[in-house]
Amino acid sequence: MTIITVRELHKTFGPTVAVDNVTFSVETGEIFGVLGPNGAGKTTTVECISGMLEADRGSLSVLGRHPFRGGYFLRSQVGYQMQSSTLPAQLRVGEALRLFASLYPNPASIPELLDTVGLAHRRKTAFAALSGGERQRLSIALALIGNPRIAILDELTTGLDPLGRRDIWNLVERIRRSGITVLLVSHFLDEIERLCDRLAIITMGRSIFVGTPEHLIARAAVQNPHITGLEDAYLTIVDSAASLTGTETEGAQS
Amino acid sequence: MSALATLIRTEASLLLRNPTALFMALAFPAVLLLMQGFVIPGTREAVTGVNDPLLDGLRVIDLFVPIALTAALGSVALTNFPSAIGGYREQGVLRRLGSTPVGPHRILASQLIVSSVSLVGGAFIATGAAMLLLGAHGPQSVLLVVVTFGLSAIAMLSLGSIIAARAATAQSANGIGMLVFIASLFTAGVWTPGPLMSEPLRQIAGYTPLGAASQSLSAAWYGQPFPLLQLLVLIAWTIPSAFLAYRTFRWR
Repeated sequence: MTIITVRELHKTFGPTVAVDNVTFSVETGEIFGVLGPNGAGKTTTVECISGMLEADRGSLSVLGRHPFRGGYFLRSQVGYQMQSSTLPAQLRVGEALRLFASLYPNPASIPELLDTVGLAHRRKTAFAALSGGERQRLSIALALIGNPRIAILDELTTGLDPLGRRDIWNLVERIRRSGITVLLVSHFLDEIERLCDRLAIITMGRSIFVGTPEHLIARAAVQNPHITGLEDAYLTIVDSAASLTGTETEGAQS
Repeated sequence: MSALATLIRTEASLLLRNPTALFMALAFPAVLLLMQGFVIPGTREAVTGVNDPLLDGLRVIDLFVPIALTAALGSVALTNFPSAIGGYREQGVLRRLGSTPVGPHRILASQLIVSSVSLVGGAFIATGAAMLLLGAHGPQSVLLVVVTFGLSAIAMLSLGSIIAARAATAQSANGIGMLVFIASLFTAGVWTPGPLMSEPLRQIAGYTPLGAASQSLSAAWYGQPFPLLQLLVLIAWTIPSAFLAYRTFRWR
Protein backbone atom coordinates (compact mmCIF):
# COMPACT_ATOMS: atom_id res chain seq x y z
CA MET A 1 0.00 0.00 0.00
CA THR A 2 1.37 3.39 -0.99
CA ILE A 3 1.87 5.73 1.99
CA ILE A 4 3.68 8.65 0.28
CA THR A 5 3.18 9.81 -3.30
CA VAL A 6 5.28 12.58 -4.84
CA ARG A 7 4.48 13.53 -8.42
CA GLU A 8 6.27 16.14 -10.52
CA LEU A 9 7.23 18.17 -7.45
CA HIS A 10 8.58 21.65 -8.11
CA LYS A 11 9.89 24.15 -5.56
CA THR A 12 11.82 27.40 -5.99
CA PHE A 13 13.31 29.88 -3.54
CA GLY A 14 13.36 33.21 -5.34
CA PRO A 15 15.40 32.68 -8.50
CA THR A 16 16.83 29.36 -7.26
CA VAL A 17 15.14 26.19 -8.45
CA ALA A 18 15.61 23.73 -5.57
CA VAL A 19 13.36 20.95 -6.86
CA ASP A 20 12.46 20.63 -10.51
CA ASN A 21 10.36 17.55 -11.19
CA VAL A 22 10.73 14.88 -8.53
CA THR A 23 8.49 11.81 -8.70
CA PHE A 24 8.44 8.71 -6.50
CA SER A 25 6.22 6.79 -4.14
CA VAL A 26 6.88 5.00 -0.86
CA GLU A 27 5.18 1.78 0.24
CA THR A 28 4.04 1.10 3.80
CA GLY A 29 6.69 -0.55 5.96
CA GLU A 30 9.66 -0.08 3.66
CA ILE A 31 12.86 1.88 4.13
CA PHE A 32 12.98 4.17 1.16
CA GLY A 33 16.21 6.02 0.44
CA VAL A 34 16.49 9.48 -1.08
CA LEU A 35 20.01 9.65 -2.46
CA GLY A 36 21.88 12.41 -4.22
CA PRO A 37 24.82 14.78 -4.09
CA ASN A 38 24.89 17.78 -1.73
CA GLY A 39 22.52 20.51 -2.87
CA ALA A 40 20.54 18.14 -5.08
CA GLY A 41 17.19 19.06 -3.53
CA LYS A 42 16.78 16.09 -1.17
CA THR A 43 16.05 18.10 1.97
CA THR A 44 13.68 20.45 0.16
CA THR A 45 11.81 17.42 -1.14
CA VAL A 46 11.39 15.89 2.31
CA GLU A 47 10.46 19.25 3.82
CA CYS A 48 7.62 19.40 1.28
CA ILE A 49 6.64 15.84 2.26
CA SER A 50 6.70 16.75 5.95
CA GLY A 51 4.45 19.77 5.31
CA MET A 52 7.03 22.32 6.40
CA LEU A 53 7.28 23.77 2.89
CA GLU A 54 4.52 24.22 0.35
CA ALA A 55 5.36 22.97 -3.12
CA ASP A 56 4.97 25.40 -6.02
CA ARG A 57 3.72 22.70 -8.40
CA GLY A 58 3.08 18.98 -8.51
CA SER A 59 1.05 16.72 -6.30
CA LEU A 60 1.90 15.28 -2.92
CA SER A 61 0.03 12.82 -0.78
CA VAL A 62 1.03 11.52 2.65
CA LEU A 63 -1.32 9.01 4.29
CA GLY A 64 -3.88 10.13 1.73
CA ARG A 65 -3.67 13.81 2.67
CA HIS A 66 -1.94 16.89 1.36
CA PRO A 67 1.05 17.39 3.67
CA PHE A 68 0.96 21.21 3.76
CA ARG A 69 -2.74 21.20 4.54
CA GLY A 70 -2.72 17.99 6.57
CA GLY A 71 -2.32 19.96 9.78
CA TYR A 72 -2.58 18.33 13.17
CA PHE A 73 -3.30 14.80 11.89
CA LEU A 74 -0.29 14.51 9.61
CA ARG A 75 2.08 16.25 11.99
CA SER A 76 1.19 13.71 14.62
CA GLN A 77 1.77 10.84 12.17
CA VAL A 78 5.08 11.95 10.65
CA GLY A 79 8.25 12.15 12.75
CA TYR A 80 11.03 14.23 11.28
CA GLN A 81 14.71 14.03 12.23
CA MET A 82 16.20 17.12 10.66
CA GLN A 83 19.62 17.41 9.11
CA SER A 84 20.72 20.58 10.86
CA SER A 85 18.60 21.16 13.93
CA THR A 86 20.11 20.97 17.40
CA LEU A 87 18.78 21.68 20.87
CA PRO A 88 19.63 24.22 23.56
CA ALA A 89 23.01 23.27 25.06
CA GLN A 90 21.71 23.02 28.64
CA LEU A 91 18.59 21.00 27.82
CA ARG A 92 18.85 17.48 29.24
CA VAL A 93 17.97 14.33 27.31
CA GLY A 94 14.98 13.47 29.52
CA GLU A 95 13.70 17.04 29.41
CA ALA A 96 13.90 17.16 25.63
CA LEU A 97 11.87 13.97 25.37
CA ARG A 98 9.31 15.16 27.93
CA LEU A 99 9.00 18.46 26.09
CA PHE A 100 8.45 16.86 22.69
CA ALA A 101 6.15 14.20 24.19
CA SER A 102 3.89 17.02 25.41
CA LEU A 103 3.45 18.21 21.82
CA TYR A 104 1.88 14.95 20.56
CA PRO A 105 -1.53 13.45 21.27
CA ASN A 106 -0.28 9.87 21.73
CA PRO A 107 3.37 9.96 22.74
CA ALA A 108 5.61 6.94 23.10
CA SER A 109 6.83 5.78 26.51
CA ILE A 110 9.96 7.81 27.29
CA PRO A 111 11.77 5.02 29.22
CA GLU A 112 11.08 2.54 26.41
CA LEU A 113 12.24 5.03 23.78
CA LEU A 114 15.41 5.77 25.75
CA ASP A 115 16.11 2.05 25.86
CA THR A 116 15.43 1.71 22.14
CA VAL A 117 17.92 4.43 21.20
CA GLY A 118 20.40 3.42 23.90
CA LEU A 119 20.30 6.64 25.88
CA ALA A 120 18.72 5.41 29.14
CA HIS A 121 21.97 6.07 31.02
CA ARG A 122 22.19 9.62 29.58
CA ARG A 123 18.73 10.77 30.64
CA LYS A 124 20.07 13.57 32.84
CA THR A 125 22.89 14.60 30.51
CA ALA A 126 22.80 18.03 28.88
CA PHE A 127 22.65 18.10 25.09
CA ALA A 128 26.03 19.87 24.93
CA ALA A 129 27.70 16.95 26.72
CA LEU A 130 26.45 14.28 24.27
CA SER A 131 28.73 12.77 21.63
CA GLY A 132 27.84 13.14 17.95
CA GLY A 133 26.33 9.67 17.84
CA GLU A 134 24.32 10.25 21.01
CA ARG A 135 22.97 13.51 19.60
CA GLN A 136 21.83 11.69 16.49
CA ARG A 137 20.20 8.98 18.58
CA LEU A 138 18.40 11.63 20.60
CA SER A 139 17.33 13.31 17.38
CA ILE A 140 15.91 10.00 16.16
CA ALA A 141 14.16 9.52 19.52
CA LEU A 142 12.53 12.94 19.12
CA ALA A 143 11.35 11.92 15.65
CA LEU A 144 9.79 8.79 17.17
CA ILE A 145 8.32 10.32 20.34
CA GLY A 146 4.93 10.93 18.74
CA ASN A 147 4.50 7.24 17.77
CA PRO A 148 4.59 8.16 14.06
CA ARG A 149 3.63 5.92 11.15
CA ILE A 150 6.30 7.57 9.01
CA ALA A 151 9.80 8.58 10.14
CA ILE A 152 11.81 10.96 7.97
CA LEU A 153 15.51 10.67 8.78
CA ASP A 154 17.69 13.28 7.08
CA GLU A 155 21.48 12.74 6.84
CA LEU A 156 21.45 10.98 10.16
CA THR A 157 24.97 9.53 10.07
CA THR A 158 26.86 12.53 8.70
CA GLY A 159 29.91 13.20 10.87
CA LEU A 160 29.77 9.88 12.73
CA ASP A 161 32.61 7.36 12.96
CA PRO A 162 32.12 3.84 11.52
CA LEU A 163 31.02 2.36 14.85
CA GLY A 164 28.57 5.19 15.42
CA ARG A 165 27.15 4.74 11.94
CA ARG A 166 26.71 1.01 12.47
CA ASP A 167 24.83 1.66 15.73
CA ILE A 168 22.50 4.07 13.96
CA TRP A 169 21.94 1.62 11.12
CA ASN A 170 20.93 -1.09 13.63
CA LEU A 171 18.57 1.42 15.20
CA VAL A 172 16.95 2.25 11.85
CA GLU A 173 16.43 -1.46 11.20
CA ARG A 174 14.74 -1.78 14.60
CA ILE A 175 12.49 1.16 13.73
CA ARG A 176 11.42 -0.56 10.53
CA ARG A 177 10.75 -3.82 12.40
CA SER A 178 8.39 -1.88 14.68
CA GLY A 179 6.22 -1.17 11.64
CA ILE A 180 7.24 2.42 10.92
CA THR A 181 7.84 3.42 7.31
CA VAL A 182 11.22 5.12 7.00
CA LEU A 183 12.17 7.78 4.48
CA LEU A 184 15.95 7.94 4.70
CA VAL A 185 17.82 10.85 3.14
CA SER A 186 21.49 10.21 2.60
CA HIS A 187 24.46 10.67 0.35
CA PHE A 188 26.20 7.55 1.67
CA LEU A 189 25.93 4.60 -0.69
CA ASP A 190 26.90 2.00 1.90
CA GLU A 191 24.07 3.27 4.10
CA ILE A 192 21.55 3.08 1.30
CA GLU A 193 22.78 -0.38 0.27
CA ARG A 194 22.62 -1.72 3.83
CA LEU A 195 19.24 -0.26 4.80
CA CYS A 196 17.01 0.61 1.88
CA ASP A 197 14.49 -1.57 0.07
CA ARG A 198 14.19 1.01 -2.70
CA LEU A 199 15.63 4.41 -3.46
CA ALA A 200 15.22 7.53 -5.51
CA ILE A 201 18.24 9.37 -6.86
CA ILE A 202 17.81 13.11 -7.00
CA THR A 203 20.31 15.33 -8.74
CA MET A 204 19.98 18.94 -9.87
CA GLY A 205 16.47 18.95 -8.39
CA ARG A 206 15.26 16.02 -10.50
CA SER A 207 14.61 12.39 -9.70
CA ILE A 208 16.61 10.44 -12.24
CA PHE A 209 16.08 6.95 -10.88
CA VAL A 210 13.55 5.13 -8.69
CA GLY A 211 13.92 1.45 -7.88
CA THR A 212 15.80 -1.16 -5.86
CA PRO A 213 19.60 -1.07 -5.40
CA GLU A 214 19.84 -4.19 -7.61
CA HIS A 215 17.78 -2.47 -10.22
CA LEU A 216 20.14 0.53 -10.12
CA ILE A 217 23.11 -1.71 -10.77
CA ALA A 218 21.30 -3.42 -13.63
CA ARG A 219 20.30 -0.05 -15.05
CA ALA A 220 23.91 1.21 -14.98
CA ALA A 221 25.20 -2.07 -16.40
CA VAL A 222 23.26 -1.33 -19.56
CA GLN A 223 25.62 1.61 -20.07
CA ASN A 224 28.74 -0.13 -18.73
CA PRO A 225 28.71 -3.95 -18.45
CA HIS A 226 31.68 -3.93 -16.03
CA ILE A 227 29.64 -2.28 -13.27
CA THR A 228 28.84 -4.62 -10.38
CA GLY A 229 28.72 -2.36 -7.31
CA LEU A 230 26.22 0.25 -6.16
CA GLU A 231 28.78 3.07 -6.01
CA ASP A 232 29.85 2.68 -9.64
CA ALA A 233 26.24 2.31 -10.68
CA TYR A 234 25.25 5.48 -8.81
CA LEU A 235 28.12 7.49 -10.31
CA THR A 236 27.30 6.25 -13.79
CA ILE A 237 23.65 7.21 -13.45
CA VAL A 238 24.43 10.63 -11.93
CA ASP A 239 27.11 11.38 -14.52
CA SER A 240 24.72 10.66 -17.33
CA ALA A 241 21.89 12.63 -15.67
CA ALA A 242 22.36 15.56 -18.00
CA SER A 243 21.37 13.39 -20.91
CA LEU A 244 18.29 12.04 -19.17
CA THR A 245 15.08 13.94 -19.61
CA GLY A 246 12.78 12.26 -17.13
CA THR A 247 12.49 9.83 -14.28
CA GLU A 248 13.52 6.26 -14.93
CA THR A 249 11.00 4.11 -13.14
CA GLU A 250 10.91 0.45 -12.30
CA GLY A 251 8.12 0.02 -14.78
CA ALA A 252 10.08 1.70 -17.53
CA GLN A 253 13.03 -0.59 -16.92
CA SER A 254 11.22 -3.88 -16.81
CA MET B 1 0.91 18.52 31.70
CA SER B 2 -0.11 20.61 28.67
CA ALA B 3 2.35 21.51 25.93
CA LEU B 4 2.44 25.16 26.98
CA ALA B 5 3.01 24.29 30.64
CA THR B 6 5.84 21.92 29.71
CA LEU B 7 7.38 24.57 27.45
CA ILE B 8 7.17 27.17 30.23
CA ARG B 9 8.75 24.77 32.70
CA THR B 10 11.54 23.93 30.23
CA GLU B 11 12.15 27.60 29.42
CA ALA B 12 12.32 28.43 33.11
CA SER B 13 14.80 25.59 33.73
CA LEU B 14 16.99 26.80 30.86
CA LEU B 15 16.93 30.36 32.22
CA LEU B 16 18.00 29.11 35.65
CA ARG B 17 20.95 27.30 34.04
CA ASN B 18 22.10 30.39 32.13
CA PRO B 19 24.02 32.58 34.61
CA THR B 20 24.38 35.55 32.23
CA ALA B 21 20.69 35.68 31.36
CA LEU B 22 19.74 35.10 34.98
CA PHE B 23 21.99 37.95 36.13
CA MET B 24 20.63 40.33 33.50
CA ALA B 25 17.04 39.42 34.37
CA LEU B 26 17.12 39.28 38.13
CA ALA B 27 20.26 40.91 39.51
CA PHE B 28 21.31 43.61 37.04
CA PRO B 29 18.70 46.24 38.05
CA ALA B 30 19.41 45.77 41.77
CA VAL B 31 23.20 45.81 41.21
CA LEU B 32 22.86 48.96 39.11
CA LEU B 33 20.84 50.63 41.84
CA LEU B 34 23.18 49.57 44.65
CA MET B 35 26.22 50.76 42.70
CA GLN B 36 24.56 54.10 42.16
CA GLY B 37 23.66 54.29 45.81
CA PHE B 38 26.93 53.16 47.34
CA VAL B 39 29.59 53.92 44.73
CA ILE B 40 28.60 57.17 43.01
CA PRO B 41 29.20 60.14 45.34
CA GLY B 42 26.30 62.35 46.32
CA THR B 43 23.47 60.01 45.30
CA ARG B 44 22.28 59.61 48.90
CA GLU B 45 22.02 63.34 49.41
CA ALA B 46 18.86 65.41 48.97
CA VAL B 47 17.80 66.48 45.50
CA THR B 48 18.56 70.14 44.87
CA GLY B 49 17.79 72.51 42.02
CA VAL B 50 14.51 70.84 41.00
CA ASN B 51 11.40 72.99 41.03
CA ASP B 52 8.93 70.24 41.95
CA PRO B 53 7.41 70.22 45.45
CA LEU B 54 6.57 66.52 45.05
CA LEU B 55 10.30 65.79 45.02
CA ASP B 56 11.03 67.74 48.19
CA GLY B 57 12.92 65.68 50.74
CA LEU B 58 13.83 62.96 48.25
CA ARG B 59 17.42 61.86 47.69
CA VAL B 60 18.99 61.40 44.26
CA ILE B 61 19.03 57.63 44.75
CA ASP B 62 15.27 57.69 45.35
CA LEU B 63 14.84 59.01 41.82
CA PHE B 64 16.80 56.03 40.53
CA VAL B 65 14.37 53.38 41.88
CA PRO B 66 11.78 53.58 39.07
CA ILE B 67 14.65 53.95 36.63
CA ALA B 68 16.10 50.67 37.88
CA LEU B 69 12.73 49.03 37.24
CA THR B 70 12.89 50.40 33.72
CA ALA B 71 16.38 48.90 33.38
CA ALA B 72 14.90 45.55 34.46
CA LEU B 73 12.35 45.86 31.65
CA GLY B 74 14.96 46.78 29.07
CA SER B 75 17.49 44.11 29.99
CA VAL B 76 14.98 41.28 29.67
CA ALA B 77 12.94 42.60 26.74
CA LEU B 78 15.85 43.83 24.64
CA THR B 79 18.57 41.27 25.41
CA ASN B 80 17.37 38.04 27.07
CA PHE B 81 14.19 37.56 25.07
CA PRO B 82 15.62 38.25 21.57
CA SER B 83 18.75 36.18 22.34
CA ALA B 84 16.67 33.18 23.33
CA ILE B 85 14.56 33.34 20.16
CA GLY B 86 17.62 34.07 17.97
CA GLY B 87 19.29 31.03 19.52
CA TYR B 88 16.28 28.85 18.76
CA ARG B 89 16.33 30.03 15.18
CA GLU B 90 20.08 29.39 14.92
CA GLN B 91 19.74 25.90 16.36
CA GLY B 92 16.79 25.01 14.15
CA VAL B 93 14.54 24.58 17.20
CA LEU B 94 11.82 26.79 15.71
CA ARG B 95 11.99 24.79 12.48
CA ARG B 96 11.98 21.52 14.41
CA LEU B 97 8.89 22.53 16.38
CA GLY B 98 7.27 23.51 13.08
CA SER B 99 7.07 19.81 12.23
CA THR B 100 5.13 18.92 15.40
CA PRO B 101 1.34 19.00 15.82
CA VAL B 102 1.32 22.12 18.00
CA GLY B 103 3.64 24.22 15.84
CA PRO B 104 6.28 26.68 16.99
CA HIS B 105 4.02 29.52 18.18
CA ARG B 106 3.80 28.14 21.69
CA ILE B 107 7.53 28.40 22.21
CA LEU B 108 7.20 32.14 21.58
CA ALA B 109 4.33 32.32 24.06
CA SER B 110 6.29 30.36 26.66
CA GLN B 111 9.37 32.54 26.16
CA LEU B 112 7.25 35.69 26.53
CA ILE B 113 5.70 34.35 29.73
CA VAL B 114 9.05 33.37 31.25
CA SER B 115 10.54 36.74 30.22
CA SER B 116 7.61 38.58 31.79
CA VAL B 117 7.91 36.63 35.04
CA SER B 118 11.67 37.18 35.16
CA LEU B 119 11.36 40.92 34.62
CA VAL B 120 8.75 41.15 37.37
CA GLY B 121 11.18 39.19 39.56
CA GLY B 122 14.01 41.58 38.67
CA ALA B 123 11.79 44.55 39.49
CA PHE B 124 10.83 43.08 42.88
CA ILE B 125 14.46 42.36 43.76
CA ALA B 126 15.52 45.88 42.74
CA THR B 127 12.69 47.48 44.71
CA GLY B 128 13.40 45.30 47.73
CA ALA B 129 17.12 46.10 47.62
CA ALA B 130 16.36 49.82 47.29
CA MET B 131 13.95 49.85 50.22
CA LEU B 132 15.96 47.56 52.52
CA LEU B 133 19.54 48.60 51.74
CA LEU B 134 19.13 52.18 50.58
CA GLY B 135 16.09 53.20 52.61
CA ALA B 136 14.16 54.23 49.51
CA HIS B 137 10.47 55.13 49.70
CA GLY B 138 7.79 52.82 48.30
CA PRO B 139 5.50 53.98 45.49
CA GLN B 140 2.80 56.60 46.11
CA SER B 141 0.35 54.69 43.91
CA VAL B 142 0.93 50.94 43.73
CA LEU B 143 -1.93 50.48 41.26
CA LEU B 144 -0.57 53.10 38.87
CA VAL B 145 2.92 51.60 39.17
CA VAL B 146 1.51 48.18 38.28
CA VAL B 147 -0.39 49.63 35.29
CA THR B 148 2.55 51.65 33.98
CA PHE B 149 4.96 48.78 34.58
CA GLY B 150 2.63 46.41 32.70
CA LEU B 151 2.22 48.77 29.76
CA SER B 152 5.95 49.44 29.72
CA ALA B 153 6.66 45.71 29.74
CA ILE B 154 4.32 45.15 26.78
CA ALA B 155 5.94 48.04 24.88
CA MET B 156 9.49 46.86 25.53
CA LEU B 157 8.70 43.22 24.72
CA SER B 158 7.10 44.40 21.46
CA LEU B 159 10.26 46.30 20.65
CA GLY B 160 12.38 43.27 21.58
CA SER B 161 10.15 41.15 19.35
CA ILE B 162 11.38 43.05 16.29
CA ILE B 163 14.93 41.94 17.09
CA ALA B 164 13.69 38.44 17.94
CA ALA B 165 11.77 38.29 14.65
CA ARG B 166 14.80 38.82 12.44
CA ALA B 167 18.06 37.97 14.26
CA ALA B 168 19.67 34.92 12.71
CA THR B 169 21.66 33.92 15.79
CA ALA B 170 21.66 34.39 19.56
CA GLN B 171 24.85 36.41 19.27
CA SER B 172 23.47 38.84 16.69
CA ALA B 173 20.25 39.23 18.70
CA ASN B 174 22.27 39.94 21.83
CA GLY B 175 24.52 42.41 19.99
CA ILE B 176 21.63 44.40 18.52
CA GLY B 177 19.66 44.17 21.75
CA MET B 178 22.60 45.43 23.84
CA LEU B 179 23.13 48.35 21.48
CA VAL B 180 19.47 49.40 21.73
CA PHE B 181 19.46 48.74 25.49
CA ILE B 182 22.56 50.86 26.25
CA ALA B 183 21.19 53.72 24.15
CA SER B 184 17.80 53.35 25.83
CA LEU B 185 19.36 53.53 29.30
CA PHE B 186 20.35 57.11 28.50
CA THR B 187 16.79 58.11 27.65
CA ALA B 188 15.55 56.16 30.68
CA GLY B 189 17.69 58.43 32.86
CA VAL B 190 20.24 55.95 34.16
CA TRP B 191 23.04 58.48 33.62
CA THR B 192 20.92 61.53 34.52
CA PRO B 193 17.60 60.84 36.27
CA GLY B 194 14.58 62.30 34.51
CA PRO B 195 13.82 65.07 37.02
CA LEU B 196 17.46 66.22 36.80
CA MET B 197 17.56 66.22 32.95
CA SER B 198 17.34 69.48 31.06
CA GLU B 199 13.75 70.12 29.98
CA PRO B 200 14.33 69.77 26.19
CA LEU B 201 16.20 66.50 26.71
CA ARG B 202 13.54 65.25 29.08
CA GLN B 203 10.85 65.99 26.51
CA ILE B 204 12.75 64.21 23.74
CA ALA B 205 13.43 61.22 26.03
CA GLY B 206 9.73 61.07 26.82
CA TYR B 207 8.98 60.08 23.25
CA THR B 208 11.35 57.08 23.33
CA PRO B 209 9.97 53.78 24.66
CA LEU B 210 12.29 53.36 27.66
CA GLY B 211 12.17 57.11 28.35
CA ALA B 212 8.36 57.08 28.39
CA ALA B 213 8.44 53.97 30.59
CA SER B 214 10.84 55.60 33.00
CA GLN B 215 8.93 58.89 33.18
CA SER B 216 5.54 57.24 33.63
CA LEU B 217 6.90 54.93 36.35
CA SER B 218 8.56 57.89 38.09
CA ALA B 219 5.31 59.85 37.98
CA ALA B 220 3.40 56.90 39.43
CA TRP B 221 6.09 56.31 42.06
CA TYR B 222 6.28 59.89 43.34
CA GLY B 223 2.60 60.80 43.00
CA GLN B 224 3.17 63.24 40.16
CA PRO B 225 0.27 64.04 37.76
CA PHE B 226 -1.14 61.09 35.77
CA PRO B 227 1.39 60.36 32.97
CA LEU B 228 -1.13 60.26 30.14
CA LEU B 229 1.27 61.42 27.42
CA GLN B 230 3.92 58.85 28.37
CA LEU B 231 1.34 56.04 28.47
CA LEU B 232 0.09 57.07 25.03
CA VAL B 233 3.69 57.08 23.80
CA LEU B 234 4.11 53.52 25.10
CA ILE B 235 0.95 52.42 23.28
CA ALA B 236 2.13 54.21 20.15
CA TRP B 237 5.38 52.22 20.25
CA THR B 238 3.66 48.93 21.08
CA ILE B 239 1.23 48.67 18.18
CA PRO B 240 3.60 49.21 15.22
CA SER B 241 6.40 47.25 16.91
CA ALA B 242 4.19 44.23 17.51
CA PHE B 243 2.79 44.46 13.98
CA LEU B 244 6.26 44.74 12.44
CA ALA B 245 7.55 41.81 14.50
CA TYR B 246 4.55 39.70 13.48
CA ARG B 247 4.90 40.56 9.79
CA THR B 248 8.66 40.06 9.59
CA PHE B 249 9.03 37.02 11.85
CA ARG B 250 10.97 34.19 10.27
CA TRP B 251 10.93 30.65 11.55
CA ARG B 252 14.24 29.68 9.93
